[in-house]
Amino acid sequence: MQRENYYILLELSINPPENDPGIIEKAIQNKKIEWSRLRNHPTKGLQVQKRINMIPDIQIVMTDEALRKKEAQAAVEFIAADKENKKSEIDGHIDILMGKGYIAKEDIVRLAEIHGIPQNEINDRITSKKNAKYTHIDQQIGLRMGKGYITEDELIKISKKNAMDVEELRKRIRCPIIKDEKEAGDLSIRPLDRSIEKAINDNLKVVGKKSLYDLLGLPETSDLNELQKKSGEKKKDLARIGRKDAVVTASVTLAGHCLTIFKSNETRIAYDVSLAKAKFSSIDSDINIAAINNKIRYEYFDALINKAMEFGMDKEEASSYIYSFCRKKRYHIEQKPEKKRRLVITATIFVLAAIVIIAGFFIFSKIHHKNVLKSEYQQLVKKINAQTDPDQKIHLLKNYVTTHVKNEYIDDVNKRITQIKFQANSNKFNQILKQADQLIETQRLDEAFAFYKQYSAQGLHKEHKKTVDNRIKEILTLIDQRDFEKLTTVSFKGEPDQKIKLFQEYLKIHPNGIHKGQVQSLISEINSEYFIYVKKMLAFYEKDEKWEDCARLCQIYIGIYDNSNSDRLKQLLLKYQENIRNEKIYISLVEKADNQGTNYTAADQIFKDFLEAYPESSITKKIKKAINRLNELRSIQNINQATNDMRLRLAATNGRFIETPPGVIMDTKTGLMWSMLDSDITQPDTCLTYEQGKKHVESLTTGGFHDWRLPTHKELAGIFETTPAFPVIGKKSYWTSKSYTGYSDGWQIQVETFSSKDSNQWELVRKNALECGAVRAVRNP
Amino acid sequence: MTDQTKRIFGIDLGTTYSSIAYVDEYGKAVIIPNAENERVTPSVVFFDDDSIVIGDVAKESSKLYPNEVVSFVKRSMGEPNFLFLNNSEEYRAEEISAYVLKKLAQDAEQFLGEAVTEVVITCPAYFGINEREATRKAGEIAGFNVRHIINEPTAAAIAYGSLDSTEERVVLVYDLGGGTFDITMIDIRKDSVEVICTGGDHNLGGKDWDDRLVAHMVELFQSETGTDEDILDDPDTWQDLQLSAEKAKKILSQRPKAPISVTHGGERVKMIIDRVKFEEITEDLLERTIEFTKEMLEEAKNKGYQNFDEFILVGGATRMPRIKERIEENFSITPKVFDPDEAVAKGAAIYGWKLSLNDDLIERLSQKTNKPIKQIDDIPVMIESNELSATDFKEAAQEVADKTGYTLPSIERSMLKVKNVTSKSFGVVAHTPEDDEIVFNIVLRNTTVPITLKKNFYTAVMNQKTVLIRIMESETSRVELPLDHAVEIKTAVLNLPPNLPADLPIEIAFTLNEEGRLHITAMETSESRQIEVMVDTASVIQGEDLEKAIARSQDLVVH
Repeated sequence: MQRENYYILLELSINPPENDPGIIEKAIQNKKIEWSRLRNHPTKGLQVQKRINMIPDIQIVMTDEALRKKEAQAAVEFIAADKENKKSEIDGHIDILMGKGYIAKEDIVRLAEIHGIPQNEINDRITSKKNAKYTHIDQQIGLRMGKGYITEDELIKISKKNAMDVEELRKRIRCPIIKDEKEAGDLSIRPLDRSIEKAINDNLKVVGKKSLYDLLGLPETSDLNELQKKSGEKKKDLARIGRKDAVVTASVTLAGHCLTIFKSNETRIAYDVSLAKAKFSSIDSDINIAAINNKIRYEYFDALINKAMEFGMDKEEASSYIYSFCRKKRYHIEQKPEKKRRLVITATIFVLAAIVIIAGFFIFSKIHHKNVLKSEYQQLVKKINAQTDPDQKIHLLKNYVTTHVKNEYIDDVNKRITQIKFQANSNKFNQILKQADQLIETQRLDEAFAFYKQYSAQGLHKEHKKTVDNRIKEILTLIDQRDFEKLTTVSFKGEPDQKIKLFQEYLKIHPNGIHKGQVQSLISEINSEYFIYVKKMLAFYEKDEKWEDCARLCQIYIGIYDNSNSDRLKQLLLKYQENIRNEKIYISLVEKADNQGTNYTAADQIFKDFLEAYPESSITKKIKKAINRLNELRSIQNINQATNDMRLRLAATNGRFIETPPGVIMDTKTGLMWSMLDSDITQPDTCLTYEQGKKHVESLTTGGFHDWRLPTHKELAGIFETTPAFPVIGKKSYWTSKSYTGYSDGWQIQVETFSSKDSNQWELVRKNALECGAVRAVRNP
Repeated sequence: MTDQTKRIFGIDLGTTYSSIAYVDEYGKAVIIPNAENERVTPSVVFFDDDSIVIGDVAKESSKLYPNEVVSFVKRSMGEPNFLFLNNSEEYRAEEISAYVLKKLAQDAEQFLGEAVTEVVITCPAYFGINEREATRKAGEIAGFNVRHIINEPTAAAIAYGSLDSTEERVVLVYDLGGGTFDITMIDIRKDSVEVICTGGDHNLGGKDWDDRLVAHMVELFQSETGTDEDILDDPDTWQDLQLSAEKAKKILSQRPKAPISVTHGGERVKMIIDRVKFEEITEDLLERTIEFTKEMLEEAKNKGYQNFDEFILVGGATRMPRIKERIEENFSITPKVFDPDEAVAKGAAIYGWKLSLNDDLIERLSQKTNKPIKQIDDIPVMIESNELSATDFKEAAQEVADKTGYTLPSIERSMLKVKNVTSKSFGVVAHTPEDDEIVFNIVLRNTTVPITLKKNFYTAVMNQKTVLIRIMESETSRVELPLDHAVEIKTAVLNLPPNLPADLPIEIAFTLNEEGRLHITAMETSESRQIEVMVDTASVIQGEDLEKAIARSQDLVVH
């Protein structure tokens, strides 16, 4: 949390900042006393205690010139920011309080208390808020004053509309207030002389003022006395100006008008009425302009209403004013056309006249007497009629044809054959249709489709083929519709990749589908969404170095879209493809390295060669890891070598040093247990500071022991300086457990080390703890 | 008692109430009533026009003259920025405390007809170095020879132990006073009283319970009258409510309900506060004391104390029934309320009495053995090492017994050993190898005092003139801690002898005496010369202010 500002806390002057050390010191002292008194306040005690604790800091800041200057600046900024914050808050509160129509004195006192600012500032804000409101109200009043009076009804209306007390409103009205229009006749308002009115307006134009009030710089609601006084002053001021240009002259004239107009209430009302009328005249002129050919279009009428409302009329008033003006001027106001009823265009139904096919019955009455044929034929017909199986029928008929020479009945028989055949086919066909319909009904569209397809392949009657083709078409439409509906439900949820997959599937299945266009636009709509998804997935795959997956994703996107995103992905794709190649290289490098067996240096070189050639590639990390791994293996190798070497040397100590358990050397002379290898061997090429050395020894678990520690100087001397001595290879500087805290411009830690001077010669050297040293760990048995 | 034996008085200088006690001719600790015949005196000072009034009258005056009355100064002991202004004169907490002490002494003198010069003053175990120093300074301003500053729980334990001197036991002293809270584990033995562990908060006491009541009353007043004015901004109302709250708290300790009336700005609101509500709004305060107790018990475990035998409640605020209940719930032991208002002053008096007998004994031994008084410090150790003969000791003890009229065993037991622990950790600002500034604690809290610990410092350059040591006080048991977790209490400047080489170790010894006060000595290692160490206890009244206060206090008569 930001601390309190000391200037504000000490209640010192900020603008200009207090710099007198005496005054500041006194302020601090006063606060000390005040806070001490409140130190045990039941609710504020803690806060005060906090402040008391701040005193030393306050003293530092306020006595240092630079710090104090900064503090003063911060105070100024703080106050400004605070004021700004408060303003809107205060305005909000004022609005609420003004809701009742006025603000009472106690409201102001309360607001001042709540916001911790002086009452006059609150008053200022209220005034400015009121002014804004009054301007609006005055406009409404002014407009109505144009008539020369205001009715009680209007008054109440305005009061309600602006949530303003009626009495308060009355004060602002500077014309007679009458009960209703009837009284209007009794009023005798002498309007301002038109010439004077004009003169005033012209002069106002010269000086660039809107009204005499504006000229005097007073609000229209000002008190008459005030106006008189100001008029006099204005006059005098202007008289003093030596340069009498147009503006001055006009001003002088106007000042004169002021003196007369603001002499009495009567004259003032007259002027106010004229002012109000002027406002109307602006509306009037607008109406005149709008009336083209004495006609006002309905669109213009709306605009005029709006204009009138800006002047403070309500909608009703505005409309009635414009109507009455137009009536006077004989302008016609166009009515807003009724909304055209949408004509329902009923499709013309062509009713085809029922074609009554009157089967002509050709009655052949052949008076030939070939009765045999006839009776035979009749017999056949009878037989056929008795048969139900169409195949049998055909069989009988065909039999007739083959057994008879052409006679008058043959054609008939042949016809019957075709007829029966067709009938049979139709029956079968109807069956098929029924089956298919069932499939469709149960939404097994794909089956229905397959069913028809299979059926149509059999070779059909022309008529039937046509029906089947139509049916297939219908089913396809249904499938299309169904698939598309599926898509639309998916397009609202689900991952973009699933959507894309479905969209594409649709297009594949329905290459000329009814919704092809819609699906295509769906695809293009989700391009950004899909791109974001792709980016997300790419990041995901990149983390796991799944370059193939990355490339695949890019390819899919690029395959669908051709936009700036796909351009970006094309770039990425190149990178991924490069990475895929690198992966292959890495695998081959690993294979090569593996082939080197335990020759870790050679294996290492394979990786290092690659690194040198390609220092920055996607597999750099992996390669470095492989190198580290090899280093570890090498160091294990080295440690094993060193261990073997050490074991040989230890064997030559005549049994003084025994290895038990592995890696731990017991000194039979002292009983102390030592780590066989020191940190120079286990962590070659690393600088161990004293702190790191301590950590090293603490984390050591050699031999399964966890209580390794740094040896003392004496203990180290015990193994290295007495014979047979502990074998040592190379120069050593071992950290001991003894450290001093050194004081030199702060603290430094000094540590005793046990260091080799030359072979088998050791000395005690005090080193800074930040230098490098080695650790030979020891533990007590 | 003859005139030769100097009487040492015990004073409990409390946040809200103080009292004074002495040991009578029968060896019994007795509270001396004040001029108003009250056994405890409110630690409230009223600066009347031309006189200074202390006690009940002052407390009652706070309602009428809130700006002329000052109270609860104990909470500001050693605080350099606490200032009470009266009549354009400024007063520090030490000086105001001195007036309370003066009043106690004055009334005691009146009562006994003998001068009060030697005193043992108590302070919360949890007081740090500054506050202790300030307490001692208060005694000095009042014109006393402050023989010792002892911990309040220790004093209570001495009083408690004196009831039955044969039984050895470990007691927990839960001391909830007017302004401070201490929880202390004490091992009481035949010849020693040993503090094992201590913890607490010197900003937690009965007053906090009062404050909760005050806040509650304000809220009730506001909701009753519909005002949102903070009526505590009016000092009269504040003081009025503060007193009403204290009374209500006392009533609620006895009865389930307390009637209160709050008057402010011409409005008067009557309210009834019941005990359940009171306990509800103060539960967290009680919780804090329980937490301190648990923490302290944990630390005691580390020192090998797994159990305790008794739980003693000391301090007026422990009369609130909820405290007893809560302790029973938590620690499954029935605590004993032990002389809550007077135990501390009585214990201090007993300790003072033993000191004076010991003085006597040493004086006689010195005469017998021709050894200077200074050399005779720890009599039992000297007898054991044959530096003193047991016969000489017996004779001397008998003489003291004859002279004073006390029994021989009580004279022999006067060599009571009080072992204390330090309630704070002390360390220095050091640099880590990474060059961060940290506090490196040299003496950890709850270490038994007296103790001397040494630390080597090195000179940085040749012919270095001074070394600056920043001494830090903290409330943790960690060795290393960040700088802002500790308070800088002193800076010590080592003035080095000339011509020292660079990198010379200088051994600096931190000594905490039995009162827990810190002394620093230094020795340069080249020629083993003692080096001057200047330590300034920056925040306690000193220098001109102190002299002025002493002068002002000298001819002051308090009422």
